[in-house]
Amino acid sequence: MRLLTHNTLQSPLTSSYPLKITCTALRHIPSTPLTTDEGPYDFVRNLLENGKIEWDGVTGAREDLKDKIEELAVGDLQLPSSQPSPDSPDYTSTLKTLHILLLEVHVLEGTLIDKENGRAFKIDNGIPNMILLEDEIER
Amino acid sequence: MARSITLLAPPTSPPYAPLNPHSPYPMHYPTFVSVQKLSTPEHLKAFLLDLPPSSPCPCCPSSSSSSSPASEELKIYHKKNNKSVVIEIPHAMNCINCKSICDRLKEVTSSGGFEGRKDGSPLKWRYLGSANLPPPVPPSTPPPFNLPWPKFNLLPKFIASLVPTNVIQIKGLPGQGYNLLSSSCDVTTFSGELAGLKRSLKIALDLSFYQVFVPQRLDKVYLALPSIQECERVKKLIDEGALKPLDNLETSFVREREIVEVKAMEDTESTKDVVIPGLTIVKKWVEDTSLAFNYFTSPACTAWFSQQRKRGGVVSRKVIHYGYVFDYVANDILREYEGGAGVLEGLPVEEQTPWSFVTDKIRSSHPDVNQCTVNSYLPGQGIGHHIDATGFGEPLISVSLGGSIVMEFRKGPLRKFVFLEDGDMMSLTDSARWEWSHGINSRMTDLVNNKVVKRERRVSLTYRVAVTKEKEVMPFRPYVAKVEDKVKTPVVELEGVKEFYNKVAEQWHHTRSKRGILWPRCVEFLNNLEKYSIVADVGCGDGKYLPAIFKNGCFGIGCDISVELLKLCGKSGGPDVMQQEYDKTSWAERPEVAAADCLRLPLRTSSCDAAICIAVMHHLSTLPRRIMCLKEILRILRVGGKVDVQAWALEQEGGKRRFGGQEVYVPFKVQPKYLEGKGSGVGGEDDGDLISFDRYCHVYTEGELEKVVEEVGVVDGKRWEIEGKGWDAGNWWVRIRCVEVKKLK
Repeated sequence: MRLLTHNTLQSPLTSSYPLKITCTALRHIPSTPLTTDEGPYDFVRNLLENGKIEWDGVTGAREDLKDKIEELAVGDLQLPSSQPSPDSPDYTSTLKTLHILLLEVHVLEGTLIDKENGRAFKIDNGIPNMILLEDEIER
Repeated sequence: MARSITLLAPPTSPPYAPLNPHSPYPMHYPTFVSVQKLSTPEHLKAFLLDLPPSSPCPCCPSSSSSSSPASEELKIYHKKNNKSVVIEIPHAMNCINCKSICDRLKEVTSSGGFEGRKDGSPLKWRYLGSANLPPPVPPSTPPPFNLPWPKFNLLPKFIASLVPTNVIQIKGLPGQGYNLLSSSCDVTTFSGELAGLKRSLKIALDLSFYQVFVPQRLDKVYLALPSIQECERVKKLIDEGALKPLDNLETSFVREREIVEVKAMEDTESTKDVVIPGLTIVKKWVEDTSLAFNYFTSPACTAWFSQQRKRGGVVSRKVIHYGYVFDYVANDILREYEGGAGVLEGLPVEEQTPWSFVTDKIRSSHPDVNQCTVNSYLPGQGIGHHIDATGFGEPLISVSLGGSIVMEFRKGPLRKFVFLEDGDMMSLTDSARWEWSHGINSRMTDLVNNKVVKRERRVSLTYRVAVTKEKEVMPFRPYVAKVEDKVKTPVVELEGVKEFYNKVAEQWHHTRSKRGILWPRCVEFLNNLEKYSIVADVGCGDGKYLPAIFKNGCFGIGCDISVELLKLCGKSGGPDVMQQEYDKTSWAERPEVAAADCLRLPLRTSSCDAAICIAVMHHLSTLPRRIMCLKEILRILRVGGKVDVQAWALEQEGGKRRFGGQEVYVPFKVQPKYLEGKGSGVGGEDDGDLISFDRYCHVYTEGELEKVVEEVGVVDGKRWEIEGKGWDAGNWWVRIRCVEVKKLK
């Protein structure tokens, strides 16, 4: 599961967002940025500038995974605490960090936790299981 | 005694011949089995050496095996670098009367995890045959097969000594009074009608190995078969009439399902003069049963209980209890409802359900009736003999819907057969209720007035009076009509969709995604998406549309209810179209998918720019659920986002009807190799080598999909607008767009 997906996921039980990540297996798989017409990292740049990325979700995920990220040896992937504007000085390096963090880091094994009630959704081989048990279904 | 195992190169020609079905001593020769997919033969050798020694064979005079070390010698033939071996097992270790080493090894390894196998799966043994040696001189004492048949009450012990064979017993054959066992013949020689039967058994039932035992009681024959699967296969064939003109044969399993009893069915005519006090039958008491029958047989009927436990297992027929729930373990009604089996329903009357007109008719003359159990009998299902529990008073009234059936009453040696047809009512009071037991034989046919009647699906409504221990009538529990439950997943979807896809995932993946079979209209939709869109594939299956999404510069997230299908997403392994697409877009590693219910999408509100929902809407069994699915997609979509929805149409190519109605089960055939470890079929039947699974579908009529879209209404200030619709290649499709609801000034 990439962190861009995590950024879009919410709890099917309580709609709580973002989900906390605990991870036992993290992997870095480099990927060529999708298109390079307009500039480097334009995929994440477009997503960011069009408001499709929740900044709290990204920083939250990075915080949850910081121990495992250290082991990946891709740098510490630090991010500013709020979404940067395009004219900020470190914009390009922030984009690079975002690209690695959102698209190249994969949570292979772990859980996603609903912060409101502690319900854990298991991630198995990169696939989170968000199917609710029949007993949990209320609405 | 020490066991020795030698590894040998295989001989140039196979040293064995297929098992000789006519030999009375088939297993006394060295037997050959093969084992495949081993890591190395050394593993197997080490494993075999570790096994406890086999028991001595009592009927092989030459094998005083307790003292002879040679009797435990196993030879393993293998080719260098080959992953399979052939094991030669000497007769002393594999006699029909002892537990053969193969069966013991099967037992030991069947729980899995034999580490010598490449994929860790249990060892698979395949009998190849026995050595083609000349038949041995029969020993001076005849083998146990020729022993005089014991008295009936000793039968189970005799059969127990025949371990490990599985036996079919054929009883009640025409021409009773023949004596086929003369003192000098062995069991493979017959005369007269039974010889003909034996020939037709072999041909009609395609038996490659069997042994026939004829007891001196003369009305039955036992068939020994190699496995329980063979037993089941043969029983099924006989039930379906493979032994014409002997249609009136009845088969049933005896003794732990390893023995099938086949006997002539008794004709209902034979007991027509027997009178049971208190038994009343009214023919065609209900004129038109279709409303009631169709209600219970519709695939979307959600009232069926999940399997209830009974003593010794589970109740295999489908049941519903109205009024009071019956507990088969306690053999009484549940007096304090504890949230046990199923949902407690009151007893519907008047207009509350389409079938309650039957209840009204019953209660008009029997107002005490407060309980009804609905039973569904598929051909081959029955109910064991019983007298109804004391938790019920009288009368006991049964109304039969659908197929006809023969019910048998017993009291001591007395019998009565009753033929019940669609609409008949049967009432039991006095002796019929309290002294005679009743039951329905589990078989595929009945014999009525000298005619064989095939069983069809039957639904019975059994009305009873639940009473307290003091025999007071319990209060009537009124039925509260439920709002169609859109919350819990109906059983028909759990079994016919989720479980179906989890079981057939591999074959499904191979027949669809690997060959790149995509709906062109959907691909066109995806090709026209704006770059950098976040696209949700609701019901993505094995993710076959995800490559197209990524190829167009978008980010796709797939959700599906089937974990097994998701595991196959982007799976590497051989050249396939989807894999190539993934590799090209460099998203090859790990496409983005999550297991989720389409009615409860785990995606943020207004987070997606587009969505596709292909072949999902036809798996939702009720209108509220279909609306809820489209509501969820509306929720996750931002204003301006577009969706492509597609679902199976009732109307197919050229006006040809493929489906009998809108609620259907559509079979999907799977090759057994894709089913390893997946258990048995969901409604599965064999079709030659293919196994058939049924999936539940509600197919749409013209305009129906648009109506569902319109019912969605407003979600988070957004609603759907239909941009396009049509029919394409057997599917109805709609293109819908998320628009903001204009606030009225």
